[in-house]
Amino acid sequence: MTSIPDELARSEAVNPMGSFCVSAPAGSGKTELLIQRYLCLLSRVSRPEQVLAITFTRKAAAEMRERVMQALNAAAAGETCSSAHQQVTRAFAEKALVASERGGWSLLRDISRFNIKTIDSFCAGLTRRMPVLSQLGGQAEVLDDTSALYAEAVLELYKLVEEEHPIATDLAALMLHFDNDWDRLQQLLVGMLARREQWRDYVGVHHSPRESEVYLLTTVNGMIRDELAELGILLKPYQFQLLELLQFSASNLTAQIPLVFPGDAANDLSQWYCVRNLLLTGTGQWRKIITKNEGFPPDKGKAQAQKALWKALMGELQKIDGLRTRLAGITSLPVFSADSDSWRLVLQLSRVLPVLAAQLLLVFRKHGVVDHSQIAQSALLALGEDDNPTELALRLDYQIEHILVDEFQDTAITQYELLHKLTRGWGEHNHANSSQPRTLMIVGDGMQSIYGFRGANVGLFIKARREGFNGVTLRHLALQCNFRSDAGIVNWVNNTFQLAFPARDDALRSQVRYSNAIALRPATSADAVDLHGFTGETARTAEIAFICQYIADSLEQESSQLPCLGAVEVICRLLFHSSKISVSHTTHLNSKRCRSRRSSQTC
Amino acid sequence: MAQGLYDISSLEALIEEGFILLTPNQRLARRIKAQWDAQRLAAGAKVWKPLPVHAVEDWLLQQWDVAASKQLVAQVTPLGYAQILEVWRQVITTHSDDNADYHLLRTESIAEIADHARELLLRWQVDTRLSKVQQLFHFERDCGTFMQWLKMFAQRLEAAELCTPTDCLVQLANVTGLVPVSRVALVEFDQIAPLVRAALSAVTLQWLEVVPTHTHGERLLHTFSSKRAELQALASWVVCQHRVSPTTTIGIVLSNGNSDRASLEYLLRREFDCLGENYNSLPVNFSSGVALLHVPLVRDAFAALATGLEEITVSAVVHLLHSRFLISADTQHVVTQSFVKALYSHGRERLSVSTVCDLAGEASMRSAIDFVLHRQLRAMSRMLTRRRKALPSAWVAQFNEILSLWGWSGEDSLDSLEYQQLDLWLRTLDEFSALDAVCRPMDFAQALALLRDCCARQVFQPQTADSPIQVLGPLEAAGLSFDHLWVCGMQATTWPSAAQPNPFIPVAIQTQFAMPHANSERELAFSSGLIDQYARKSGTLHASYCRQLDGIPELPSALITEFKLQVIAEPTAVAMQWISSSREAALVAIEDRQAPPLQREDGNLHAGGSSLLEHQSQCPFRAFATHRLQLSPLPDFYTGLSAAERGALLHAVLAAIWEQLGDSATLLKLTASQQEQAVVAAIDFAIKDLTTRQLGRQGKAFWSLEKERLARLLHEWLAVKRLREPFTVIATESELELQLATLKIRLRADRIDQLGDSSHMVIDYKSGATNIRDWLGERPANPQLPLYALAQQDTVSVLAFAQVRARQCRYTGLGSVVAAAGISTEIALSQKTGSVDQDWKNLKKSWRRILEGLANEFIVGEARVDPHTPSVCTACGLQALCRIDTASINEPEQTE
Repeated sequence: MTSIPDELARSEAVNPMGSFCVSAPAGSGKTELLIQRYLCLLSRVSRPEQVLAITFTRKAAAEMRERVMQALNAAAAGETCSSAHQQVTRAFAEKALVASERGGWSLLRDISRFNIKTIDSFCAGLTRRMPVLSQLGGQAEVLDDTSALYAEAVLELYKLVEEEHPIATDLAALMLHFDNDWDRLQQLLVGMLARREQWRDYVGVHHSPRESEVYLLTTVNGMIRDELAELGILLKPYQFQLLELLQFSASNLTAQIPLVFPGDAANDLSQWYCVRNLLLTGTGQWRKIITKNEGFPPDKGKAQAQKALWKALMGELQKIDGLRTRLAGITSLPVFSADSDSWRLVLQLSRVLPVLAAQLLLVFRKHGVVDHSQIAQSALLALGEDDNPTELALRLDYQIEHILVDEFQDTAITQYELLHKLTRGWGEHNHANSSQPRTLMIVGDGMQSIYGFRGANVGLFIKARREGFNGVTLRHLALQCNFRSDAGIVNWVNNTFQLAFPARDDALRSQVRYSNAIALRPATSADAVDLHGFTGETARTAEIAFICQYIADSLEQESSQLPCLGAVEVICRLLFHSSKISVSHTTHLNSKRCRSRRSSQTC
Repeated sequence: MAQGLYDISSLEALIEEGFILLTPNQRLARRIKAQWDAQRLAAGAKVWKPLPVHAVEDWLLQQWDVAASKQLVAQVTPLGYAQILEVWRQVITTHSDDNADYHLLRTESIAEIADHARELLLRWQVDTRLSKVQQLFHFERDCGTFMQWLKMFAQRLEAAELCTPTDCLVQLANVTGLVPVSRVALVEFDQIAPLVRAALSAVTLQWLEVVPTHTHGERLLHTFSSKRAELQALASWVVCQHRVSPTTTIGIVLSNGNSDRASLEYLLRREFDCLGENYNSLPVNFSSGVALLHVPLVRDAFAALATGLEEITVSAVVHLLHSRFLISADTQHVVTQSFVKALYSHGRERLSVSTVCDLAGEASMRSAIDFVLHRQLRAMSRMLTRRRKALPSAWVAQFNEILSLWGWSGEDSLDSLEYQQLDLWLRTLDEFSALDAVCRPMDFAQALALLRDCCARQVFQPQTADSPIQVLGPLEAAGLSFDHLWVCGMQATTWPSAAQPNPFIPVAIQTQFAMPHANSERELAFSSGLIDQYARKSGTLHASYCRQLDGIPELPSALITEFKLQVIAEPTAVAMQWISSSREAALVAIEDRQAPPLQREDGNLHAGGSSLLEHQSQCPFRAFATHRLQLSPLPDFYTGLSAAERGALLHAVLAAIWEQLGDSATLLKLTASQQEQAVVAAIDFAIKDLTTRQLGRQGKAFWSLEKERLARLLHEWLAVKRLREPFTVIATESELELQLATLKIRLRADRIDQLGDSSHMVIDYKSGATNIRDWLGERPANPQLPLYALAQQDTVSVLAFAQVRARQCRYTGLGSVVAAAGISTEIALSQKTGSVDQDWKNLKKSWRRILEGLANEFIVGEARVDPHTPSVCTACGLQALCRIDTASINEPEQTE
């Protein structure tokens, strides 16, 4: 087999001495890579459970277990390999079998020894082993949909408004803000409970209103600071020119003349508005002309020179990737004055929410059920705050030595924290045992993040790549080859999605840029992708009718001529669509080869 | 000739020698005894000595009784399981209350885990007094905490001179002075805990393990695409075997406990044709039971008892009307219907029992029928003192009183299964009463919750006639012999199962003592041992698994790789007999979108409100169902005020304030404080007009918020009003009639203003978003105001929505006069494209044509399902009737 463009990255990714962050776009064969690394690590541990692989769905875990088992069985049976990458897998599988034999693991007989799990089931396992530390107590049923319990918690909260509870005033104010429409407020609060891991850290539990206000202010100002700091870095090379322009403009507008270029403090925000006004129009576009409104009168002399300076600077600044959007965005940064309505609302919420969360715990207790979020929270609690991970090893009866995480782009904050806790002390350990390092590999594709509704945050992927975990740094490896689709499709996707993604990665905003894929399969036809748009009120039905007709035509064509069309797959965004299509396609044709399914993924 | 379920030939020699036989569980003991009896009978014996065969622990406890009667062991009382758990629960609660650093979410089920940990330690004879052991425990927070609980538990028992059955075994193992006489043989044991061994050694002359016999039969593997297919194929196969040879014994092992039981039972019933009349003649015995709490008889007992609580859910109330075990079961349809409607209209999913009682009383009055439910609830409230604290046994008396009040367990005679359930219920009540020994007095709610726990733990195993086909759990099947044993669900993920060490004992100790479920190695050995045991005992051992479970791929267990694959055809998704009977049916499609035309009675006109035409316009079927069939959906539950209540309140407030003000001049003259007073007065007036129940559903805080909200809104609205041209309010909430074709339409205008030119402006208050497009087009969504314009052709010059909505107060409307900002006189511009109406006069003409058309449609009985826009369906709620969603799915089948 000829070598492929990203072969180096692929061989590096199975190096058991290193920790990696692999970005792997769709169709890049990352599952095989994960399996290879998993098998490779098995041969380096004393118990198979020490290699922990975390997948995002139960299905993915089952598939990975199955493929690992297949690889081991194939190796045990001595089947022949048909490709080079199979050969690689085989070599690792053989080593793993030797380790299994040596350690008496009976891997071929006992699939439960593969520590390949979803984050939910791993957390559930932890809490089962640590009922007191996790404070969960006995087994509670974990429900996927707990919205009825959230609603019940809100009703319990509402009862407090009639009592002399410390938050009664805040709650009443919130209700009034929602026109005393308790049902609408309930919907909002239910939504907040479903996402409580996202606000818990910001809101915190505080004993006095003042305390929570200070805490919130710190959080908000921190956010502003981060944003302004990024801007400051982008504009650093130009800050003296900019300052001069700012001073000139201020003098003409008889505003206060700035002495220094604005920094990253929240107080500097008003100065930043001036910078924005100097460079961008109100709608956030690059300014083409500058007038006396901005403090540049149409005079000769100094004014003309300043305008020339401005013009030259604009030319430079427009070349900076992402500067415009970031600068435009500063007007959406929160500005709070103590008496503004929105700030009061935030404060009221920040006092009510912790009480609401506590009510939810009572409801959980009453019904003996919890949600996944609670399990994750309990698992974190069980792992403790201190830096002493020995107890975990005792509880689990093994020390986790290696972790692999798939679909990391869909990781939520709690999962990120969990990894942090699981890797406590790894940096020091690796320092002292450089020949037997503990390793971490995260695999993901920021471009495919689809679980925003569950609190997934692509920013965490970027953050992990930059910062690593507890002194374990992750080397970035990028897979680029696409084995799944032919060049026609891959190139179309490259060209199209390039436009839809931002120019730079941005952890703060949870955005990633697009990276091109390289097709390994040649193009089979010139127009691999047809795009059909439907608009107007009847768009949905028109689309369905079109799809059905298209499938019918294609199949008819196929039956009259070879080659054969192969399978037809229809991917729908909504269940509504898929039901209509399956209904209508039986009217148009009678083929079992048509499958329709629902998906929120588009490529 | 098929073999029996247990081959006792290997035991005959031991029986001859006078050995007592001991088995791991009662089931096997009963089985061996039955086999022995059958054998004696077959040999022609008339009388014979009962075979001494017992479950090992039962026998040992008998020995303890003997020792106790001879005062050879300490004088303590053994507790039942419910009592033991109660003690644990108290210990754990006390401990966590005293320790601020942890607070458990679930203390109920943790008691079971803690008790299990203690059992393990005792049975595997771990000496927890050793400092080495203590150290291991205290190294881990969970185990350390458990150690403290354990001490407290022991102290409690000691103080009350109580013990657990396992403590009895410990005493027995250390007994001195007992003269052993028995020789015992242990049959079919996979493992024997060290404590049991020690106890046996102490109380017997000799004990031995019977070495299992080897009769390896055929071992077959079957694979299926889904769980459903697996169970379906199994059911068909069982029926087939049974029909060929009714004496063939078949065992079915369900690997994952109870979760497949219901599906399998259904499929077996279907295959054996025991779903209907033959329900009680299913030739299958299920060993796995169901929780007593979930059998209908007991479930309904709890439904009746729950009426003693302060609050109850709507669904629980409705359940009372459905239960055939209760006297409240619905036989009074008229009053029941009226009651259920009122119950839902109350708007709360959970409401106080006294409110339910009131609603039932009102329904009773409305229909002038003595409503049973009302009578019952009233009797309940007289009978019960909820807050009284009492011991469980005292509550049992009260529970029984309540149940007899509700006529439980029904007038109909119970069937034999239900009698067994009733029997178990009574035993469970005894067990509950026995909690007196360990409980403090509790109130009604606590007692009911505790009883519920007891019933949830109590497993009901129906005792049916012995049957050649048995459905069993994995452990129950161990030791039994079958011609065919079929193990279902042999997935790699369940066989062997993952290790489940007890969280309260350090794993190191569990591994060292080889405790059950301690680690993967132990689980694997255990599972393969079990499979071997099955194989030894069965003529043919079948194993099956499905390749997919909930859409997730599954592998076969590696323990069955040596089984011979036998292909059984995948069953069809739908039972064959159903497919064929469906084919035989001759289908006729009937299109029915036409109701009978309205008949004039005695020359009277038919009357209706403006909603009649509104519905006809939105969807003719909705008008038909609502106005001719008189159907309306049950309302949704809500938390504060419903949208309708909010609307009504706002209307009342607005009517009240214009009663005071009268015209724009008065409004303009008001000072800020006068306006404030007027607003407060109007709001107070409107709220006072609400019913006591409406007021009582919310607390004081709610109403004060509501007043504040209305005041803010009203001031906002009056500010808009102040900008209007001069007007005089000539009517609020005024009624009017309009005849369209043969329909008499009753109209109600929220308000009518007289304008400067003495023409009228008709105003409709809306608290939601408004759009004048709702008046226009061939099918206007909201024709109320156009109807009004027709009724008062000559005087009405303006129609307006008054959108009274926080932060969005404004007028929108159409007319020939600009009476306020937001009123358009540009009739043509406001129309959808293609309309011919250029002015107000023509618009009114079109309205007459369109609305008369709709009236005629209604009169002739046009009732097609045809929602004008999708949003019509969102607000309708009659989908169960018009089946608009299913209709579109059924269409293609009709065309085929």
